[in-house]
Order: sequence, then C-alpha cells, then structure tokens
Amino acid sequence: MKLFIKLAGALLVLDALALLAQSELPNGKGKDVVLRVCAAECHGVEPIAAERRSKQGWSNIVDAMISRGAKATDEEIDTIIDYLAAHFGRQSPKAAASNIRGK
Amino acid sequence: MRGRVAEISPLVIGNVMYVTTPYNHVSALDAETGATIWKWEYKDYGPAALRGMSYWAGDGQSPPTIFFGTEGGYMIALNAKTGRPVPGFADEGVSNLRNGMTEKFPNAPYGLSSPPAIYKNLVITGSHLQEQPPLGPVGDVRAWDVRTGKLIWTFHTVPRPGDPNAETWEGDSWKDRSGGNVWGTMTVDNERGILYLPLGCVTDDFTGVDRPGLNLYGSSLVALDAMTGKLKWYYQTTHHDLWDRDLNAPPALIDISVAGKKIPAVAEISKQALLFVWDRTNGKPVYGIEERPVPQDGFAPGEKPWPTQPFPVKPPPLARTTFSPEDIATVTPDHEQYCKDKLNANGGAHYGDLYVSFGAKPATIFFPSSLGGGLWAGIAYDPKLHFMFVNTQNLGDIGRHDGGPRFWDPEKYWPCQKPPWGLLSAVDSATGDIAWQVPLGSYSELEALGLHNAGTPNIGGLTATAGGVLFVAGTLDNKMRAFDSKTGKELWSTELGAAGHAIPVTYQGRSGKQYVAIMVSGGGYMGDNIIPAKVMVYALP
Repeated sequence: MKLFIKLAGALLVLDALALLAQSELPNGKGKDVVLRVCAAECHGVEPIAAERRSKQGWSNIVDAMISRGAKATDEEIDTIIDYLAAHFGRQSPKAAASNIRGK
Repeated sequence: MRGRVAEISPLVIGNVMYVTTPYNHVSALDAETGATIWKWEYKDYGPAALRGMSYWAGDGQSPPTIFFGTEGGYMIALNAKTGRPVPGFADEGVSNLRNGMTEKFPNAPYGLSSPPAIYKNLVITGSHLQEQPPLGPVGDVRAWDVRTGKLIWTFHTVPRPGDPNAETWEGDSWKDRSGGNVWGTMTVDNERGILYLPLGCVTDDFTGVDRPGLNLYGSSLVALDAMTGKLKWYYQTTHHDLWDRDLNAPPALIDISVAGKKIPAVAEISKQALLFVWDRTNGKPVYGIEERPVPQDGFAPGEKPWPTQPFPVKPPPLARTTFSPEDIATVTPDHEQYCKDKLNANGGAHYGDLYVSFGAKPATIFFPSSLGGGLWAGIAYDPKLHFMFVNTQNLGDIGRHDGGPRFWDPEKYWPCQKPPWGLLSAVDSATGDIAWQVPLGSYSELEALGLHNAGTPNIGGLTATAGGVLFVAGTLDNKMRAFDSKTGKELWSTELGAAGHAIPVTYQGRSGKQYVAIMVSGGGYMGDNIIPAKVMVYALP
C-alpha cells in the first residue's frame, strides 16, 4: 500500500493519505479538524499517532506548528489540543510511528 | 497572547534594530533603548519566516530595503527608513513566490522559513516545502531584481533532462520531486560572486524506492555564480539520502591557514554532526573526506542504498552518532527503567551507527535524530584564535521506518542515553582537530541530584565576539551563557524564561557600549514551552 501510494499521482496520493489518516486516528470530537489542519496539509497522521504528551505538551507542539504556517482559527486550535490530549495523552497506549522533523 | 515561535537574529543597522515577529508585524527599534521607530502590520500573508530578514543598502533609485518572507509564500520589501512597502517592488512591495511553483499542487505548502540572500542587486530565495508526499512543488532557488521583483534566474535543485547531473535520477524520478530545497540560510562570497546553497533532502525523507540514484543536489552543498545562477561546484554530503540529512546551516565563509597555506574556506555542520570544510573556490576538502562503505542490508524491499557515504577525516563527529544498549541513561532509576521500556518495547529496537537501516523490527534507534546533531544555526569563527565553534545535541530518534519520535522522555526532556546531552566544541582550523569540548546546558533537577553539567538538547546558535567571548543559547534549561573562546570555560549565564532557539547577535550602540541580543520564544520543534516571543538585550560591562 505504502509503495503504491508513493508511485501514484499527486491527487491519488492525497486521497490515499486521507484514507490512511482516517483509518489510524481514533474517532472523537475534533478528529476532522486534526485531519484537515495537521495531517492532510503538512505531515500525515503518523507523526501525531507516535507522540504521547500532556495537554501542555500538545499545546506547545500545536503552537509551534501554527508558527510554521499551519492554518487554524483560535477555536480550531483549542479543539485540536483537546483532541490530541484526550487520545494521545501521557497514559495513552503506545504506538510506534514517525516524528516531527526540524525544518 | 498565545505563544508563537521566533528564531530570528535581530538585524542591527547603524543604531536601528529590525525585528520580524510571529504576530504579523515588523518593527524598527532604537537599538539602544528599544523605543519603536516604526511598526508595520499586515494580514493574509502568513507568519513571518521563522529565522528573520535581510537588508539591501539601497541606491540612487530605491531606498534601503528590508526583505523578509512568510510561510504563506510571500516576500515583502519594506522601506527600511519608513516601514512602508516599496511600491516599485513586485506588486506594491509584495511578491507572491507561489507563482510558477505551486500551480500543479495548489494545496501544497510553499513558504520561506529563513531569510533570503542578497548579492548586488539580487535578492535570492529558497523555500520551505512539504515533508511528504514525495511529489509536489520543487525546491528551485530563484533570484529577483531587488528594485522591481522581476525574476532574473532560476537554479534547478533537482536537475532536469539536459541539465548537468540529470543522470543521477533514474527514469522520470526527477519529475515533480519535492524537497531538495534551501530551507536554511544561504551565504554569499561578495568578493568572488559565489552563492552557497545548503540543500535539504529530497522527499520522501526516509524512502528512496521511487528515486534510485545519487539524487543530486539533495543533501548537498552547491556553489553557484551568484550573478547568473550557473553551477560552479557541488559536494553531496549524503548520497541517496534515506535519513533526512538536510544541509541547512548557513555555509560559513572563513579564511584559514593550514600548514602555512592560506585557504578561503567554507565550513558546514551537518545534521550528522559532521563538520565539512572545503576550499570555497573549488570544493576541494581541506582536511580530507573519505568515502567509506556503509550498511546495505535490512532496507525496505526495492531500496537501493548508496554503497558509500562521505566522512570527514577530521574532525571526528561533534555529537553522538551511535547507540547500543549499554549506552542507556542511568541518571535516575526511574528514567533508566523508562528508557529500557522504550528500548525493549515490541520485541526490542534495532540500532547501529550513522546510515543504519530501518530494519524489520518495529523500531530503529538512530543518532543524531532527524532534528540533527548540528542544525540551522551553523558555526561561529574567531579569526584570531582560528577556532571554529559548534554547538550540538546528543539526541536520538526511535521509530518504525522513518525516524522519531525522540528517544527521550518528552516531559522531562531527558534523553535516553548517557550524558552529555549537549556539547560545545572548538575546532582548530589550522589542523581540523578539536581544541576543546565542554558540555552545554544543565538540568537543575539533575544538578540537585549531584549530576552536574549533563548538557541538554539544544537548537540555536552562537556568536563569537572579537573580545574572545562566545555567547550561546538554545539549551532546554532556558539559559544564555558566555564562554571563554580560548578555553571553553563558562564565564556567565542568565535565565531567559524559555529557550532561545536563535543565534545571538552583538553590536555597538551609539554610546559606544556593546550589546548582545537574543530572540526568546521556546518551541524549537522539541515541544518545549512556548512563550510570547521577545527580544532580550544585554549590555556588556
């Protein structure tokens, strides 16, 4: 699947990425905002699913992403932080995945 | 006010300090009092580039100009005297850099995260691009007329059929290949008219199955004729990059002397914490660079890792580049257990040296992390001592097939391997040898337990003064420190309130006093605490 995605055209890549994202993020209030603002536009879902942070930790990460060009209203930012803290908090089950890179 | 990240070096011209902010405004301040001279606010262009702005001195036709980019893909020209957009530049002072680059990928990010370069009457831009998917806007470097904003030349950072080195891409793998961009800072040798580009990895950063070949000019230093954009020389520091080993530090132009021979050199610290030094006129290594065999097994099906990678003969890597289980941190029993659990989860992690494969196991540990041992702030140089100074971090990634998350406790920011976790090094340019190396940073919780100077991960740069003092921030203990350039002895430190992920600047005010300024916001991609960004200025005694 991964290989297929990489060899496919750009539109197909975006569609496939969205499907992949939906399948890997748990359902909950704010999932749609996270998929749109974070996963579809910039870095996919893996860097999110890999992290386990407190609410303050997630707030720091989201503010860092907004500073680097992620587009969201203040209300959406709060929704994203609440979703991440609820589903990828310090005590959430671990999952191996990818990272946030230093650009 | 929400915390926002700023990594800029304030620009001081005469007695005026120019500051771009993450709050959609740019200010000119009295460099000695901080009083506002002018402030320009804007909407709709996106956050200002994280790492600041550039200055063109002006001429008879056009005023002195501040150029800065935005993450939204615009470059803005402001009259340095008035703070108003320069009407003759592009569209009333604003150039839309997305034009010509994103038409095929209208939803893809395209912006600037670092300052443009200035050479004579050209302002030269790189780009901040997507991390994935592999296809998207390309990383071409473009030069524009400083007065009009007209495009003067374009350099294809991924060569196209007919360009030199196009054969380093098999088949059509060059086409619409994203990445290969300058997201860091370019430098210009004004005397020789040479522009130096630190080029990032081509996308996808960790998978090269669909791009067999050397993949020039990904992860390379490229020297161009600054006036024409024609290639002069290049040196690829990671072949067929599968580890996100972007070059991104501003190539440091230093004039050195080795065995009695004067060499105009260019020095580049890489994410691998390898310090490459070349003759900047021709790309010839100063202390030698060897192609050494690297692992070929355990990569994804279809992957063709390059058989060798370049290693500087001197100096040695300036941060940790290897890991094995006996390196696990033992600073406290709890932390040791936390790290062992990470190491042993899901059947245990795979590990090795630089260029380790991402194997069949669920996780691979690799050092330095994709944040780099060295990063975008680069090096400083003291011509009197002939020392090059570099701050680096010892932090790894533990991940599935494509790096991270970090191999640390993200709440304490303690890495999972033994200290030191941050280093400050001086390298003697006359020999390429390390002159001194000291830990950089210290966590107060560990100091209280009797573990002194463990160092901390750090992102940010350093500045070397003519008086023989080094200023460096960026550490996760939220301090700025001064060191004796000759010995590495710590002379002074101060609390900043958050990490200063920025390069300090030093300048002399109209009173004759010398100052050091540092941008402070935290948030350097490490999840550290972010505060509303502020410039802090210190007077030297």
